[in-house]
Amino acid sequence: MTPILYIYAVVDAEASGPLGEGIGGEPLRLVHGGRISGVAGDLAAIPQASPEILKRQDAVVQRLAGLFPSLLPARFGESAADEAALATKLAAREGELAEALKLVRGCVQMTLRVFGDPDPAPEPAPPAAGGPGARFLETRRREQERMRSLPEIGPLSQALRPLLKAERIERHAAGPLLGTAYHLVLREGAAAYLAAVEETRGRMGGRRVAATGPWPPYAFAPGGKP
Amino acid sequence: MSQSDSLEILDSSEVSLLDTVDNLLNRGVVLTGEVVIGLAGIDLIYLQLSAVLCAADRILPKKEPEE
Repeated sequence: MTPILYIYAVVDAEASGPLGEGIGGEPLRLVHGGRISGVAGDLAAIPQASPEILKRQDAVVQRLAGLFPSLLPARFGESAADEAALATKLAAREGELAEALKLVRGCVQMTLRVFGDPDPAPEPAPPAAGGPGARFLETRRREQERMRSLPEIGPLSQALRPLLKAERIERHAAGPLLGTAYHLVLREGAAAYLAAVEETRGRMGGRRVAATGPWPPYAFAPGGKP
Repeated sequence: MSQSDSLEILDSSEVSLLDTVDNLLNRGVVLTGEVVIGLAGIDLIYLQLSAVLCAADRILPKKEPEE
């Protein structure tokens, strides 16, 4: 079995304290690639996913998030063959990662899941000008816009708006889970966020919401979805 | 799964675990795009969800390179 360098997070500054250990008890270290660094440790192999190991990795990332002004968590299972390989990968995406780290600086992620019946589909818009190709693209644009919005929680969105630095919405096509909103808020705004959700709970038109956080900004990684 | 069932689940302490699964398996920075993860322990979590939270590239078995 070939040992690997297991990646926990991406950062752009030095840690304010000891990095401590990873999920296997391995000492963590910074690997530099341009202005960006990866927090990584040596493991014998990529770990198998289980609830326990996922919780353990999240705990490591949460602890690391307290040591850096800005941190992007790595997706579970990310690894590199060695330090040189990781440095190359980081350097290749330096600009994109630096931009994302700037966005999440001083912030945490709050996750809002919305359950209930969707609003009726909007009336079809009048045909756009142009040929069939233009009309097709316009229809696709409207569909994609709808998949990135949750108008069903309008009052709550209004109440949360002043607290948000960024938002990612993932709407589901079917099922009681209508959609999930990932919100980026300043670390000191997390309590106000949860209070605003509680305050608005009675004005949701029968829909239910479940808010969790603060989390490290998993949903604000560059190139992620949605 | 009925709606009331899923709401019941998400009112429980499991909601935090479900968020952990979503965050770690479906979000976060992807540097390599070559990750392979086993299924151990994850099936139970799927049964409690009304939506698949896990990206396919996180759970599908890796194809052995052809000689």
